[in-house]
Amino acid sequence: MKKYLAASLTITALMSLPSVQAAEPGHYRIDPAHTTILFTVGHLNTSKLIGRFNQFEGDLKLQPGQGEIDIRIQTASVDTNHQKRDKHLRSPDFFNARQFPEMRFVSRQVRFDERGEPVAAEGTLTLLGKNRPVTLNITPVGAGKDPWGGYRAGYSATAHIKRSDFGMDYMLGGIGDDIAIQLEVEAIKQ
Amino acid sequence: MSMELLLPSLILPLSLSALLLTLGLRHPSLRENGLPAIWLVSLLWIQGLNWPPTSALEWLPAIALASMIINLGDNGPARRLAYQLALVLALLLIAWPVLSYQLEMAFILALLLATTLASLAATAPSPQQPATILALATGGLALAAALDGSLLIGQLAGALTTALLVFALMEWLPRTRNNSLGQAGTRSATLLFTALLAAAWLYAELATGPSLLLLLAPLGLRLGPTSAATLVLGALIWLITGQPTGESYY
Repeated sequence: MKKYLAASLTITALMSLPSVQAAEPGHYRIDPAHTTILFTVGHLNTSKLIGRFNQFEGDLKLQPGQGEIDIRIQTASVDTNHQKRDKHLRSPDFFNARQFPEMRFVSRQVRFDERGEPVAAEGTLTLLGKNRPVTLNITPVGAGKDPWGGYRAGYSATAHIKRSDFGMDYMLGGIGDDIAIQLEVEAIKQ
Repeated sequence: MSMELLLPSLILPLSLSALLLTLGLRHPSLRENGLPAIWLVSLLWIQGLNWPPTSALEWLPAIALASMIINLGDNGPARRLAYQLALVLALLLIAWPVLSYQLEMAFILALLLATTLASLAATAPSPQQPATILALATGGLALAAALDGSLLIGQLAGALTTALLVFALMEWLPRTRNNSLGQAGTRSATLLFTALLAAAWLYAELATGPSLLLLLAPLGLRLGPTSAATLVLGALIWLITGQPTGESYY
């Protein structure tokens, strides 16, 4: 009986340990080759459409108390796997990419947990020339050395915005107002 | 099509144009200057008013107002100059966000060409059926923009087309066959058409070839309605044949 109790306690203790290694503090640069920026939007109140941005760059300063996040996305790189729809999304009806080629999220209020991992970032999203507060909820995925002698950290992050808050209010009847943003980030320590 | 699209771009301008023509039977100046006002009402419904403007299209209400102001006063060289200045200013306001970071000779030449052609068309001495010709041009633009980039610009051009169609109808009815659009309405409609076409080309990636044909269409005010119809038809055929097949998604 004692053996079983000891074994189950050991298993419980192991399960309660952090599942991922905390990333080393420092300055990280987003690796575009291993990062995905997705958005989900409703269509005709019947389904959800997922799109992505293919061109972006970003920097993360992961230092408890001094955290900073700066992500810059090229709006013209919007990709919903449909050439004509992407062209429409680049037009003044939506992203107006010719006039507003970049959207940007900047946060200097990054919250860290007791292990020093970022868990949320309160910042400003600039889209169509308008600045609105946005909170990015962050989940650490993993961190460690890569085979080339570098050091990498990975995070999943989510945010929710209303496109009408940024003046993107055309076709609100058919294309949803609520946009879910999802980032799967791999960043390389500089 | 949903009521959201139909109301401001079809039903509203149609009703207001009919009302304007009825009221304008005894007041020609009201009738001739009313077209941009009708379009402005549709525009504000479709796009709202954001002042000061932050995007190129948000300058359109100011351009519509300018197209009314230039019609005040007497006909003469001063008005002609004011019209040309209004054209240049309107196109600069539309193009500035692009020109400010991409000052390319091609854009400057395109804007100069647009100003020259619009000015040439709008100052035609005694055009035949101007409302028909301009309705063809704006209707072509509405279809082209909706097919090839921006439903918003297509809707705005559609509202202008609908307003013009009531005037065009007056040109074709045997009893009322007259130029109810007048010089003022012709000037305003040409200015608004050119601004919308510039916006479609610059921001909605409307293909250059069809855009050029559409830009030439108002010259029908000098050459006749058949040439305008041919140019618009050519632009639409060019656009449709250039579309990838099976790519419709609206």
